[in-house]
Parts: sequence; C-alpha cells; structure tokens
Amino acid sequence: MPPSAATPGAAERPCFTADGLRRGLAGSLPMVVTAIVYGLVFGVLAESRGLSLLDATLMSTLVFSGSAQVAAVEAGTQSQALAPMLLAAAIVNARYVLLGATLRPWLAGHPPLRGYACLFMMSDANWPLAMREHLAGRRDAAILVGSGLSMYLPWIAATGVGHAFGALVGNPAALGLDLLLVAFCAAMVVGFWRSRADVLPAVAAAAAALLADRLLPGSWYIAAGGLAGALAGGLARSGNAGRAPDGGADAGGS
Amino acid sequence: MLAGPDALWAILALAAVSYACRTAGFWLMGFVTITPRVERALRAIPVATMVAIVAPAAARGGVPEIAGIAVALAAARLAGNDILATVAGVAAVAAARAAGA
Repeated sequence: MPPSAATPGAAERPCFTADGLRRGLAGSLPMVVTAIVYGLVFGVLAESRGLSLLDATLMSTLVFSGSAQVAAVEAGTQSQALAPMLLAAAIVNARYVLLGATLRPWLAGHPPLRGYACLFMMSDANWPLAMREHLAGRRDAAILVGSGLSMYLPWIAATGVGHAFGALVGNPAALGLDLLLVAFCAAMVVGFWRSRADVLPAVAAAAAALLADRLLPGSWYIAAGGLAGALAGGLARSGNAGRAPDGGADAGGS
Repeated sequence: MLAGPDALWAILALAAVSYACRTAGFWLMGFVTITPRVERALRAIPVATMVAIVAPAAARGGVPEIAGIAVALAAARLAGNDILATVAGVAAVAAARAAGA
C-alpha cells in the first residue's frame, strides 16, 4: 500500500480518463439549456452594440464567461478606452479567483500544464461538480473538462444564432432591446442574492456607480461599483458569519 | 473598441484577463491563504457588479426604463428564472414605449 492511500481524499491517483470526460458531460447536461439561452441573449446584445458575427462568436470561444462578456460589451462599446473594459471584465470574474483557489488541493497533484489547461473550462456551473468529485476522493480532472465542454460548445453556437437573429430585428429600441442588458442584470441581482449580508455591498455598489457615472467618463462606473461592493463585503462585521445559516435559509427559500 | 477595427485585440486582451482570473486563485493558493475577510469581499462582487450596471441606468432612465427594471426584478423574484425575467423586463420597456410613456 502506498502511503498516500491512507490519506482521506487521496483514494485515487490524479488522472484524466475518458470515463471522467463522459461523467462530466452527463453531469452538466441540465446546464446545456441555460448555456444556449445565455448564448442567444449575448449574441443579440453583441449584435445590437455593433459587434460583428465573427467577433461575437470569437469572444464567446476565447473568453467563455457570460457575465464578463456582457460587462465588457457594455464598457467596450461606450468608449474607445481599453482599460475600463478590461477592469470591468476582471472585476466580474474576480469570483473565479476564489473558485480556482478552492480547486488547488484537487488539481495540485496533476501535471501543472494539465491543471492550468483544465481551469480554462471552469465556470460557476461545473465548479460544484469538481468539488463533489474532490470530496468523494476522486482525482479525475477530466470531469471538469467534460462538464465544461457540454456548456462551452452550445454557448458558442448559440452566440452565433443570437447574433444572426439580432440582425433581423429592425429597430432594437422599439422592442426594448437596448434595455436587454440592464434587465438581465436586474434579474441577476435576484439570482446572485444570497442573504442580508448582500445589502451593504449592494448599497455601496449603487452609490459608487451613481457617483462614478457623474464624475468619470465612459463605463468606469461598473468597475467602481464592483470594487465598492467588494470593499463593503470585506469590511463588513465578521459577526455576519455567525448568522450565515439564517441568511442561507433565507436565500434558499427565495 | 469592440465594435471597431481594434476589436480583435480587445477580444484577445479580454480572453487573457478572463483566463488569468480562472488561474490566479489556483496559482496564489500555492503561497497564501484566503482569509474569511477576503472570501466575503469576493463573494460580494457578483451582486455588486450587477447593481452597478442597473442603478445608473435607472437614474438616467424615464418611465419605460424604470418600469422594465422593476418588472425584471419582480419577475426574477416571483418566477425564480432570470431568462424569463429578462424577457419580461424587455417586454415591459417595449410596451411602455409603444404606449408613449
């Protein structure tokens, strides 16, 4: 018996198998519909903001992050400046830093190149699958790639279809499509909402965004709001942690 | 930027930023521990960013825009489905504009 076999959570050697790929694909099948619908929404939005079909699908292929792409399109079509667009995308995707950090113990035993390649496929939807694999003592990194692929491919295709559909729409404003992003973000506020601990960051974000919208050019207000929310969340009393079970039940019921 | 001739470079830069976010935490965990405080800050960001996009739009908007945002929020809360809520919000904007509001 190798000594590692006695360690809990290390029951299996780090590997990458076809079986893991299949289990990943199957495990995230329910998310395919979501990926398609988000892809359609992003495609329509990108078209309405003047992105070409090629650029929109290329963006979905290379960036593979719905909320960051939406924020980037919002920032990157209001001004010619690169920095606010990149900062907006980085702030939206900052949560990936946390998710990636939690995968360290699971992916660390793999060859570094494999670990970093698998992380390209990490998203909010398949990260929990990888964590479950980890807790079950399995080390098959293919589960992350399989579960990512079953969303990645429909997401790219749907972006193209959404863009093509968007081009058929004559006057986007008459259909309210210029408000598509804002309505989507309003819905996502509810979707992301977890507990009372979110109130302070949300208020801070709104205040900072409104202020920055008046004082700064372009779309710096998105980054300003995201940063203010992060600061408020980090500076909030740690006493909130003791009430987390309450808040959690609250969010679960909504 | 994204709609102009430099779009390709902007997209490549975005891809690099996005991939850096996916890998940064994994890389950093080799050196540091993420404290509860840092974790709370990171967890606050999704809601904060969405609010930051919505709030100025509501402040700049008229009746159709505010109605659309309100409908999207209410529909997301009631139906628990953000795609449905987005469609409802956009439909509310279109209806309000058609009515001349």
